[in-house]
Amino acid sequence: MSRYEIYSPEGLRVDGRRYNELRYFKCALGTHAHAADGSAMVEMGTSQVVCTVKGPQEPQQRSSMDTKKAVLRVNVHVAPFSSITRTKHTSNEKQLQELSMNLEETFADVVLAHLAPRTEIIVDLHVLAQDGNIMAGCVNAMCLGLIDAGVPMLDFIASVGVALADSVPLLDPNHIECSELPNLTVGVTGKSNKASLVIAEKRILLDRIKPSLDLAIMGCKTVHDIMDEQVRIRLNSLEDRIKR
Amino acid sequence: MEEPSFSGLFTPGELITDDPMWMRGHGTYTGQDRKTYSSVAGKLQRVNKLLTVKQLNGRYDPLVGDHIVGRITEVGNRKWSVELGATQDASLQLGSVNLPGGVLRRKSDDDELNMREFLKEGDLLNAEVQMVYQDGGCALHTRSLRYGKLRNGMLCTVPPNLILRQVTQSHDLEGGVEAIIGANGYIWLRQSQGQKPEQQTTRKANGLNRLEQDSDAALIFKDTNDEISIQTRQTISRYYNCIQALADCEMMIFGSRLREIYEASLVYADAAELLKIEVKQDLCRQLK
Repeated sequence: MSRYEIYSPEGLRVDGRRYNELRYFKCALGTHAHAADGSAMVEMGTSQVVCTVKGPQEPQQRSSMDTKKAVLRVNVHVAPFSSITRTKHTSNEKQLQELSMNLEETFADVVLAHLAPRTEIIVDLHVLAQDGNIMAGCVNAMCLGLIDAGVPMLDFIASVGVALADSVPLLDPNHIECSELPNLTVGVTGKSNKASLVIAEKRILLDRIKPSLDLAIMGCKTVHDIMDEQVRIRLNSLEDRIKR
Repeated sequence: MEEPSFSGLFTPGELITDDPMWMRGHGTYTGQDRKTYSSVAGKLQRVNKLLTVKQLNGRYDPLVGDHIVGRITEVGNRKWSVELGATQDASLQLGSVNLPGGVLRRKSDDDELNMREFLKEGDLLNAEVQMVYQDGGCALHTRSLRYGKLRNGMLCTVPPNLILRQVTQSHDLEGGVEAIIGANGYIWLRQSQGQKPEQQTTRKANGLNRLEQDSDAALIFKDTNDEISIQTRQTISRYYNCIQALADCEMMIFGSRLREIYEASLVYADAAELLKIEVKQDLCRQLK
């Protein structure tokens, strides 16, 4: 039995949210303008992910070149101080490799890679603080990073996690909810209802997936709107400086 | 049918127009519903019926005629590869450089074998974009005495979208320093040359002897630096710090502004003071 009351009879969660409430979502583009071609930072509650994008550029190794399209390479780095206990993560850790592979596959669907043949795009994701689902934070940060770098894309991918407390889906779970409950990560393309990413690491009853997906898609749309607004703010500031 | 808004900013996946009469250019795509959407974040531009969305950030996008500064990355088969901050390395054909011995000299097999003696990996040069390929690559040429290998100075890189394109990209600045502002955001700061290339060309037009022309061309590929005085070195680093200050404050960079910020920076006796963020902001505020 858990030490926490994950979902109280009054409908409140550990941190006082309702089932359909997102945590505080903050994002910015061009946060590391001198270090990379595109950069972004995303905070979901207390989790924080920084993304830097280099490219499309000449491949560092000839062997990794594709004459038909750009090669997307994702590296995920998890800072040792990012969770409650200090742990050293190496990039060849199985979990992180799987995460970066999932990200590469998700974005392969939306990035118009054929427009920049014989190049590579290197995405570095730095997880500075993890509170719950880091996959969702990585997807959002990567999406904004790619947009800032001017990589042509079909649409945004906004992502959010859902945890299942018995039959009730909980939007954007934090660390405690994630470790106690089975959870899903869902990514949605643009304003559509098309889920381009669904990942469940634990078993979930089939009839509970539908309500969780509905809730996640709703959450993704909210995240999409916030991200879109930030992209416009960045565009306006870029446009302003031409006048300076 | 909706008329697209030409003043507006677009984000990826945003509907531009549902009217099929428009042609789709860069930064746009057709959805499955035959409507036109934006694929990058940027500003919509129109030329007749062609719609393009121009991104405001990202890597250098070469245009024919741009004066650029680049670095040799590879010596290949009758051509050099030049890194200039674009999506792909540019190519500089052996046939599009001026070799010692005059403009009209024919390129022999010997030249092909000695390519590394003219330009080798790591050398910096300034050149002009001659042709742009569809996939983002481009070809360069250095067929003018203005272009060639760079020496006697230091490189300063800034984001390419901070460079204002002007007619002349090389500027003689106060303090015996010359700046070559590459359209790709690479800026070369060097000690002023005694005589300007323009003068050299006019002299040549006047029909000076061939020997002199040869020595001019040989100078293009010279590898060693001249003796540079401490004073000039400090002036160059002062200009470097001024440019970095402009970049940090996201201000556009061009010749007259460099002069202006240099004047303003003379208040601080030591060029190292310009590295402080308060000083940078203070200088950039003075420019407005």
